[in-house]
Amino acid sequence: MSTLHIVSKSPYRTDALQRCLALVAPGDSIILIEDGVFGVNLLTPDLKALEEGIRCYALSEDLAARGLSVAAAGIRPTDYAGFVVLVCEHRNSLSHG
Amino acid sequence: MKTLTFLARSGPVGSSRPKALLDMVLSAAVFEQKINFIFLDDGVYQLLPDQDPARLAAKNVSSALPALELYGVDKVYVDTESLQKRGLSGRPLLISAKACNADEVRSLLADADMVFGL
Repeated sequence: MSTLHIVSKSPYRTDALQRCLALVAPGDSIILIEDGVFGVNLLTPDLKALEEGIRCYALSEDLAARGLSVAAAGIRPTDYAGFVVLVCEHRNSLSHG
Repeated sequence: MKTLTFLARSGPVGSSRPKALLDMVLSAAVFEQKINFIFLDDGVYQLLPDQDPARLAAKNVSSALPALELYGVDKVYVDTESLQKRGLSGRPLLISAKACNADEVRSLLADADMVFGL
C-alpha cells in the first residue's frame, strides 16, 4: 500500500525532490537524507499543495552534520533507528537520487 | 603573480570536494598568488557554524576555514542569491565573507587568470 520516498540529493542541484513530490500519494511518507536534507526549507510550502496524510521526516544525523535543524513545522527529525522503523512500516521504499 | 579564483559549490558533507578545494586555495596562498575564494550554490552551506559531521563519522572540513586568514586569503566572498534561495540570509557564518551578487561573481571570473570550481 504505502511507500517510503527517500530523497538523498540536494534540491538545488538535482530535481530529486520535485520528482519525489510528483509521485507521492496519501498514506506515503517522505524522508530526507544526505544532501536531501537541504530540502527542509523547501518542503513545507511544497507540501501544502499535497493532500493530507503524508508524513515528512529528515534524518537527524545528516541535519546535525550540516549544522542544520528542522525549523519548518510538519517535518519531523528522526535518527537511523527511526529510519529503519519507517522502512519496515511501509510496504515499499523508493529512492529519489 | 597570477589571479586565481576558486568557486566552492558543493555542500560540506558527503564528498571530498570541499577539502580538495580548500587544499588548493591554501597551497596557492603559500605561493603568494592573488586569490579570490567564492562560496556559491550549495557551497554556502560550508559556511554554516555548528556542523557536526562526527555524527556521520566524517571530518569537519569547514573547521579549517578560519585558517584562510592565517594564510593571508582575505578576498572571501559569499553569493547572496545562493543564501537567499536556501533561506540562509542573515544567518551567522563561520568566517567573515563579503556579500556579492552574480554580476560581481562574473567580473571576478572575467578577471581571473585561472578558475577552479569544486
